[in-house]
Amino acid sequence: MELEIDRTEVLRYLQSSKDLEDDNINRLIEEATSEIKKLINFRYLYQKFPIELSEDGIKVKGTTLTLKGKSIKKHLNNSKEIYIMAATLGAQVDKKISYYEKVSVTKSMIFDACATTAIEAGCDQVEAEIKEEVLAAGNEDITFRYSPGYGDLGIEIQKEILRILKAPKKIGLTASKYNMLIPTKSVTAIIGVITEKTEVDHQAEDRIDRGNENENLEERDLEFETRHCKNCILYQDCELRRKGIYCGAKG
Amino acid sequence: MELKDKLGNQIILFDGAMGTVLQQRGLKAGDVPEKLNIEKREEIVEIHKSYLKSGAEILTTNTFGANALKMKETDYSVEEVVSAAVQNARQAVIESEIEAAVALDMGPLGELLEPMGSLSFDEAYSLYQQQVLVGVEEGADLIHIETIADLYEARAAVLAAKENSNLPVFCTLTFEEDGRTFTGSSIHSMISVLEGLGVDAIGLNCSLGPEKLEPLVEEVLQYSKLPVILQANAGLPVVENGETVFKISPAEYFKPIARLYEKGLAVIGGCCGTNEEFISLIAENLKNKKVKEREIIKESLACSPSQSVNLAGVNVVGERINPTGKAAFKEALRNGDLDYILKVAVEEVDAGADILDVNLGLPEIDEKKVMVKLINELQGILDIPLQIDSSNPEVIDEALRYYNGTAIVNSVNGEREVLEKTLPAVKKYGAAVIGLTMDDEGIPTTAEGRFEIAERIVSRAAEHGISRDKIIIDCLTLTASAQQEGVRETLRAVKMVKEKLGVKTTLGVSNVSFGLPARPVLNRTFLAMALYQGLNLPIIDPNDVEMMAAVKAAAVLNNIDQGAAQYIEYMSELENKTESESEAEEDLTEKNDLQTVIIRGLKSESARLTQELLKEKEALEVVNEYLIPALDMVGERYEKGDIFLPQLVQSAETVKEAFSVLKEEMARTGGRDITKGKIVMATVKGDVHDIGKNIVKTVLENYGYQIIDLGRNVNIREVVNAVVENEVQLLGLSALMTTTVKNMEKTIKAVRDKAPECQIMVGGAVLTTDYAEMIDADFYARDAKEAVEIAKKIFAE
Repeated sequence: MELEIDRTEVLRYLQSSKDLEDDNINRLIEEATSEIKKLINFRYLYQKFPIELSEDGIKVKGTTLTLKGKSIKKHLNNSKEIYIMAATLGAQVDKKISYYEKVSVTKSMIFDACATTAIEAGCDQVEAEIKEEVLAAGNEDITFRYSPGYGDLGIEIQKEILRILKAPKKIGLTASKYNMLIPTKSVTAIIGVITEKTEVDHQAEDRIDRGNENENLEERDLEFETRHCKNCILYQDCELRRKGIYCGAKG
Repeated sequence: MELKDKLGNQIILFDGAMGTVLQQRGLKAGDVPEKLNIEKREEIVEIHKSYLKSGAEILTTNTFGANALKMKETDYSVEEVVSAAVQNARQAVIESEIEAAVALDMGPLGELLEPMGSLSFDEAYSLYQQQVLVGVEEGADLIHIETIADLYEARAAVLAAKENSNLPVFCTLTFEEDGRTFTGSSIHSMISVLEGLGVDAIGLNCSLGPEKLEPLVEEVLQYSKLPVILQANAGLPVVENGETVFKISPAEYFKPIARLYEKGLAVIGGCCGTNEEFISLIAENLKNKKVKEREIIKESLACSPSQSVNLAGVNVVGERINPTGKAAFKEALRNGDLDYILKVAVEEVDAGADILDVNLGLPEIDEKKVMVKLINELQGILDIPLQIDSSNPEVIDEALRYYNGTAIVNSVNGEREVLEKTLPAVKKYGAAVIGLTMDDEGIPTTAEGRFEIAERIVSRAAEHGISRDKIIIDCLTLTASAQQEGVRETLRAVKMVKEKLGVKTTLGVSNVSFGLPARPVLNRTFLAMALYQGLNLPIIDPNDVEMMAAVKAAAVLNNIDQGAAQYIEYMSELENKTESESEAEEDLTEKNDLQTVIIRGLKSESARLTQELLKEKEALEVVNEYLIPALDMVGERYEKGDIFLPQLVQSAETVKEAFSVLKEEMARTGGRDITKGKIVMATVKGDVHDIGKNIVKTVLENYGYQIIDLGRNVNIREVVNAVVENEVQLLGLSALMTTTVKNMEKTIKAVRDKAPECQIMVGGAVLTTDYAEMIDADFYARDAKEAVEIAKKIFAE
């Protein structure tokens, strides 16, 4: 699977405008983009599970996993089935980021941003593949991908998710004692199957907004942030917020 | 027949899968199969029995993940689970009345080791050791280490097995179709490292079906002298109706195995998706058959997990990681500034070195500690194999333990004591070793004399079980100006040891020209002569283009570099490099004041201009009149949104270049120190994201602060020690995750205990002012600029 690394996205992760005019930086982005493509060993897995609501949270049937918290419950409000996915760029990308940290901080941050862009692009493709499968089965839609650590869904389930998918064996993806995914440029996520369109689907609307109003993004982001995210502990690091998506948690 | 006698002579059959069989019997996804050793003993015994009935001669215990990291998620201890598991297998053997061995099974720990992950080598070792000790106590017949992707983890497991038992040790890694494991280990490195550690059988398991693994197993059969194992999956799994199923039949599974048997495969079993039918079919056809003879290509390598160098060829050993005669290097070592050394290493690799010599011989440092740390750091960023250079056997022993690969030891010599102290570690870790042709009486003047010492080294090594293909002899370069007749003796000796002893050779080259004019010409000529005599490993400065070119040219003329391919590649790369450098310089002709250069982030130009300025100005004047104003301007533009974060950092790095020129000048002239204060910085234990901290570090350095950077995933004790030893007033800690902020809190508490006067600032994605206060930090720094403000405040007091 060839992953596209969109320069605008890279610049966004670098907290820069897409109109950045700096020959050096632009050249470094170009170089990092082509270099990282050679290092990426993109691997992914996903599996479908039925879910049921229980007192503790959402039980993922046939597994040991129970998804706890308000935000995931809201996220999967319209779903009876979920997909659990895991994806990684592989260990070589991490090693190269560490390498550049010793050579040049500028290069390492650019490389890191390219890697983040790549793993997100990879996940988009996996998500599209899942969506195709879901639609083919006669369903309406899927929810966006929801990862441990979003809202009040704890990252303590990281290891269990990996175990369920046998991700360490199959794609070399592990979690550390502190539930950090390693290789670090990796994602686990939960996607709900939506069987029929409901009236209120803010997330879908948000995403449509994103598609149409890229140019107004900054304004919209601001409004959206004050609405939802200001009080969240993950405020600064939230990948979702950067994309203008609201995870569903009430701060 | 005893297992050890049978191994490699007759086919030995393992059992098939356990995990997937248990899942078919209703084990939930995500559940811990090892619990069933206790909770469903009968069922486990029953599965073992069915494998025995189908012909398995080795039962693997149901202990794939029975390590303390995973067992803490259950109600059972490692001891309980492992002992029940071994007993279950034993019970199956007894009740079936079929002769079979019980293998203590050890899979991966489930967490990645440093430097990729945060688990230390010692922790990994202890986790495996715990399993081994119980297995031995319960009477397991062998230890089977399997499904490992990281060679470092395999090393930890093998060492734990060998240091805590006398049992045979088998080890299999899991490869992708391209012949690499997920962490990048190659087949050749696996063979070199595991043979070096003295395992009894090696091979592949899991990942793919036997057909896909066939070419990879063939490669192992070609290059490994050990009995070769294959335990493949039943093809690739497919998901059908939410269930994982394996599709290939026992007959299909057997076909490639039959072919590999013809090529010398010795140990066969099954992994995920296989069951007793698969084993049964193999047993019907191959049980007790004689293992086919095969031809083995002997290689002696120096390697990291992903990169190997055949010592029989001609390869350049970079000599730059060595403090001798280098003030800045010594200073960096004294300050614990490993980044400086890493940069030297990166330069050598870029210049084309094949192996890096690592020498940290400076009396005032703790050589052992720094060596291990540096090796870990080097392995974290580079793939090049290393040569451990020390005169201290303890340093060598420790370095070899932590080195992930097959290293070269530099060096032993003909002295009995040196040999006896160093060779055991060389043998234990499977390293190659350099023997210097000198002894207590010095360097013999004649080639014959040096040959004699080489012979002695070879025979002493053989007594320690080290074969001569692991031996590299250094016939010692003498200085032409002082011992002119000695130069030829060295060259003669190279030829003699090479031809008569069949060992590899190395030489430090540049000594030859000492004290004479135009040294490069002498060096190059001597190098060419030595290469003609059969020199394998010239130790040189790879940044010396002429020397590198001479090595490449000699390889062509000696008919080693077939079709001159490497020569052509090196020359064209060299050309490209020179071109792009001159382009960059042309680009700079118009603008050349230091401020513009800083704002535009032109690093090499910054160093040059700083040097120019130093002709007229004091270092401190350069700081105050040029650097600080430029920095302020950059900061202001960033605040206003005229430039963005990468540009800010780029400028900061440019200033850093200027600073390093100034610092060298200060070191040279002994002028007034321009450092405003020392700050210790670290990314806390468990966190491997380092970029944020590095940005803050660079900017702080710009403002004249000396940063003692402890890196990432730093132990609490290490932070405390650095704060206490350096008597710093300010500590900066970074953490990126809610889970690691807990370690930040613990670190702060520990520092408060030992160094209450030290102020602490914290930063990182999940932190806020409130959170910082909650974990008892003194300051929260939102970004680099705030960190500078905090530093200014502290050091003004």
